[in-house]
Amino acid sequence: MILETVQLTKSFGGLTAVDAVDMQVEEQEIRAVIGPNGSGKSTMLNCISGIYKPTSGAIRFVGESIGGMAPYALTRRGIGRTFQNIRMFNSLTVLQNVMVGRHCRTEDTLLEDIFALPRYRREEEEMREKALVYLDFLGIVDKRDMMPASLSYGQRRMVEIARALATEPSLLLLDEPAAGLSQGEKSALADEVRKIREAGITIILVEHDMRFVMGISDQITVLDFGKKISEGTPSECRNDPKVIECYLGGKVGSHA
Amino acid sequence: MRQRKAFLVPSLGAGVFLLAVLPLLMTSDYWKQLLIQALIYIVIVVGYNFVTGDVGQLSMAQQGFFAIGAYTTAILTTTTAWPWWAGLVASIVVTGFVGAIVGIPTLKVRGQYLIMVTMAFSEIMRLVAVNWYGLTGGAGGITKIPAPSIAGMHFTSKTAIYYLFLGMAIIMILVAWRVRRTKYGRAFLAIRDGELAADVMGLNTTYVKVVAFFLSAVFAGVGGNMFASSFGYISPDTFGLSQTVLILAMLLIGGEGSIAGAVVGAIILTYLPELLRFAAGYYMLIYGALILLITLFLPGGVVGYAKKLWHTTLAPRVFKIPPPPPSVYTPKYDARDLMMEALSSRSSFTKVPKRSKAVAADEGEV
Repeated sequence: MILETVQLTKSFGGLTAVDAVDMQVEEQEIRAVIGPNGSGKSTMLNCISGIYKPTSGAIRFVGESIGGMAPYALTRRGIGRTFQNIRMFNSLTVLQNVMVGRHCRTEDTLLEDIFALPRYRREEEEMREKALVYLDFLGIVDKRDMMPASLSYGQRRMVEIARALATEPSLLLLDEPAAGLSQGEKSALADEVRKIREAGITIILVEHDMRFVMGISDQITVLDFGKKISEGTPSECRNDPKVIECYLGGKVGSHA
Repeated sequence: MRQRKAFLVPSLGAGVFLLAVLPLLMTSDYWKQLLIQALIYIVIVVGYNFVTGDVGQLSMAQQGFFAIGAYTTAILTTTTAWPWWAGLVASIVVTGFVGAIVGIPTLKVRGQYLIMVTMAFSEIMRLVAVNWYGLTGGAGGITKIPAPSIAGMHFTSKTAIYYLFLGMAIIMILVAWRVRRTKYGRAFLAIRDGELAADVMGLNTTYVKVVAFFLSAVFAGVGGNMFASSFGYISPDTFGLSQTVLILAMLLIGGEGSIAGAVVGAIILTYLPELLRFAAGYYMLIYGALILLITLFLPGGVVGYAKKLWHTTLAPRVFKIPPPPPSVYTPKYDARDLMMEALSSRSSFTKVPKRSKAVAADEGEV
């Protein structure tokens, strides 16, 4: 088991966005977390990546309790992520954006950098080469010297995934990766995600697009109003009456 | 590319020649003094650009570091008769140390709070200078600060000081230029563009900001040394709030986030008062209006505007740049191998190798 949440709870004032959720994710699994708007999916991802401190409960990553750790510390432990609303470094080129992802894996110091000493040159070269490989992997290496602002939405999404891969994650969190992509881009993305998993990386994704989710996930966790209402393989979830009720609406007034 | 080189080499040569003969063209000591002043401001503003231009944190502490650098050299070279260069080293060490210490708590706050905290720091430094009479000479300041000297060479004439400072300024600009090309330079910009994303990409953003603050302080320390040793006299009056604002204005007018911008801004605002001398009482009015106009109509500063002009209209005409050839890339590694290698470097998931190092690094590097 690579990631485990135990009774994970996050509340904002009176609102409990994530309510005592238990979730276990196995290594090399593709796990989708789904649910209607406001069901707490993104909050959960933000807890796992350290952006939010859980109100109570535990998060364990490869056996270590990580609840409340800073995002950069978790990234160094091997949790990478992308954002729902793409967050590029807009004054850096595409290649430089991806290189920033690898900074946390380098050890050269400021003085070595200023005087361009051997270790700096070696690390910089490696950073550059590896960043190019990830860009190539995601099919956007020809855009390497462009500024993010001049890319299409789908291309920027790929840059963001390349940047997350450059941090060398063992667990990759994707927050609505298919949002805003065309059908063609979506199926290309699904292929990339599968390839990333085949390389040994575990993936947790939050997504609205059901076709995308059903086609790609091994396991699905369904949240509604912050509570886990169902969990299982895509076909199990599809046929779970509780899931159908929460998506299609149950008895009148049941959630009002 | 060759065309660019053919253009660059002569223009660089002309620039060096111009800088070399500049003091010979200035007949009065007063104008030479202004040249020296411009070089001092260049060093200070290029340093200030790290924290306020690149990382985008509006700091008002540069003046405080400038004061610390100036007083460190002044005190050590007058009371303990340290040589000038030792004073310079001391100024760098002390301001760098104070920069890091002050940066750690203050850089956790942002925006207007950071402005207030750093402004308070600069004010406190000035008040210390006024009130710690035994060390700083109080409001009267410190006089008879020896002129720069290295290994028996005394830089007493304005022209000699100009050449020395020109060398120092070029070294500091080169340092800044190097930093820009390293992961630190990229990390600075990444934080300015999106602090949360930078954090999630594994950057310890507070640490990176402290590095920027440290660098800013070191540059101000060098500027302080230059100021104290070239003027021979310092007093707390020099280090008031108006100087803080002047340094900020220099960066904004030149173009924040750009080394060239910092240099150009420092030069413009050193000479502007002289050029506006004819206006006498209306000087501040014109000065204020100019700053307002530049910030309104040239958001990237003078250099930002010049760059835009160059790229959009001048460069294509001068060089007739052909469209870049389609770039072909052959990957050096297989992406899958890279990912697997990264995973296996952590061996089995139950153990945490390399990560124990990462824990130590949490406090450490970028």
